[in-house]
Amino acid sequence: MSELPEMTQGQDEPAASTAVWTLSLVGAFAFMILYGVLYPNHPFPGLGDILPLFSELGSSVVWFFIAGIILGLSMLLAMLVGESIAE
Amino acid sequence: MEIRTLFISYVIWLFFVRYLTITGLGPFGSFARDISAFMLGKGLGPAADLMEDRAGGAAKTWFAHGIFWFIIAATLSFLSMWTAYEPNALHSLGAIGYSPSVAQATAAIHVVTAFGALSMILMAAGFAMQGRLSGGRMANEATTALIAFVWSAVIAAGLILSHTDLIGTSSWFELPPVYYILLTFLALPLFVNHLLTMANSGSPVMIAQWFIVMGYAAFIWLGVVSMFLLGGENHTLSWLLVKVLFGGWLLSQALGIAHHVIPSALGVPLWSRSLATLTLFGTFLTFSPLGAVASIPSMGPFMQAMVAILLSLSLVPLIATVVNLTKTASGRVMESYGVKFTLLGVILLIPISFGSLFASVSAFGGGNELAHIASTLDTLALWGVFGMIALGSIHLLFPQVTGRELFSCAKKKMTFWFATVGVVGFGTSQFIVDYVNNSIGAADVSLALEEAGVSAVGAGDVQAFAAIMFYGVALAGVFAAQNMLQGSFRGVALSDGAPASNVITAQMAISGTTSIRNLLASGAGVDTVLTVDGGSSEGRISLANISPAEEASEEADAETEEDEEQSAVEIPDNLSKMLKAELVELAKAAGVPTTGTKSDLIDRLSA
Repeated sequence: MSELPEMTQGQDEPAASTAVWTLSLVGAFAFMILYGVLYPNHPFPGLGDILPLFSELGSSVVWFFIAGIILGLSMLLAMLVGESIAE
Repeated sequence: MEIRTLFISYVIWLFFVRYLTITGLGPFGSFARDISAFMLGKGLGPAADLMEDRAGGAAKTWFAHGIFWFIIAATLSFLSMWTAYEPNALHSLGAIGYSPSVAQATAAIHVVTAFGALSMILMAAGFAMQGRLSGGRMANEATTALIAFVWSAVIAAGLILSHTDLIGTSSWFELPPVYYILLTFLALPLFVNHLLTMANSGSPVMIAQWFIVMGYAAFIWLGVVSMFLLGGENHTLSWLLVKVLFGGWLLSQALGIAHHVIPSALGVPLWSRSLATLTLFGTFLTFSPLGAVASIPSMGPFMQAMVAILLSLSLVPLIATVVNLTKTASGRVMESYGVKFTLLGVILLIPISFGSLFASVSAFGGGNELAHIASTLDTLALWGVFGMIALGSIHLLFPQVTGRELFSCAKKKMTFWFATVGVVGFGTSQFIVDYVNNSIGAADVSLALEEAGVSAVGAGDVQAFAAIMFYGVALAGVFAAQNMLQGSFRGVALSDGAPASNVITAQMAISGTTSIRNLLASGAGVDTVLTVDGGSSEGRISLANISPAEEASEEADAETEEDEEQSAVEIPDNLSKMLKAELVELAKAAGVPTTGTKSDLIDRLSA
């Protein structure tokens, strides 16, 4: 029976990890753009294609972006309410 | 109406306001001050008691409303860019009655961006700055804060109106003229409040304050003159209104903020007084190249030449601004996010102004050959220049009016990078779209393509890319708003309102009266040589508020004891088992550097 090490997760956050994060995101983003260019007949699924609840919104990708803004504004509202109650 | 007459009336009005400001509300003196103070305060009746008359209250309210409209405006702009790529993207909203035409969507963006988001944030920064430079507060804070709510309601009404058939064809002034008169009516008490604050303080008027107050004068002229649009379509008037909106109002407010934020954040005076003065006069006495979308179909050669000269001369104050502020912040840009945002906005002025200059000259009675990039140039001017300076003011002045730092440094960083990448990415890709679409759309090209049986797809995917890039600006607004909100509740309290100066100015010339606070804000130290009125030996400096020497020495002794206590911190043996945050705290207490990795900290603490 092997003994588990005392600690497997470190606390350090080297600066290079931020660079890896950024490069990964840029790479994924670049791929998504290339995908649309290379395979124009296979568009990305829209919010309505993934969640049937939103099927009436159509299949445009723009709804993901709009959802992001709505999420941001909702967080603002939640913060405002939360901070006021905490006060 | 002739452009010459209109411009002369504009210049005369500005000089009148300058006279009013210099003479402390003009020949009526104390009577004007009393009646203005009454109208702004008790004259409102019970409404005056709705808001608290607390120092900084007005600026805080305007900042809060401004950042809300910032998010809405950036989102509407993003949606407009996206629908240029995918026109049917939002058709499902037709079910709830939202199906604006391109003209309606553009009108909505114009009113919310120019008169809502950017105007409100820049006005908020103006109140914060004015209060700080004029004895700590505006003459009236409560009514000014109350007007923010009314202004927001008017912007909301404008947003709804722009989706109706009431919109016209005058670019940037699409709504009925009475709408802009209403905004002017609301700006009037704010303008009086600025004049009153300056008249009450008695301090010498600084360049940044001149920009703010003259900008208000331009805005009020704008509303009054827009009444002439009631007489029907007037290309000349529409053109001049756009130029005054961009140059006289938005640019002047932004430059006023920039001329305050950078020296104030860094604790150094402006590099050159003469360049700042040149910028002030040049901004108001020339035609701004920004607002490139405005055009006049035909114009006589004399007026074309005159306007081209005035447009070209407008580059002089812009270049002077960039040099002056860059030299002021030289080598110390990274010290403050307020400075970073502001300087980026100022630097972007140069390429955007040059592009807009060519487009504007061509649009004034010429062939308007650059019409296809004019809209992009205007968007860049709004978000790249005014938007960045507005965000810079949020990062420096909002904490000053709330008394608390913004909550998260990580969010400041994200706001900066999202906004920067968003604006630059949008600009480069949108220019590609504009040029490709313009080339493909040209008559001879489309004829040749038709004859060859080729259908050109345009630059649709690049248009989507431009929209996605711009989405970063909307996210930057969300991050900034979250940071402001959390900061105003739980941010670190600012220990002292007095600005800290890192670089002591060797010599400083002062005229009239000033305060120790203003001197410290301008970078004066105990060894700074003060020259009163250009070398005269006359003058008096009061040192009544400086503490006695005994108290100072007692404080110094107390600090020495504290330092000794700090150096006697006990270092535990099990440093390697401690979290990095705990090590940083320990390093702070021990007085050793807190940067580097965990092992660096352990090495330093063990040494």
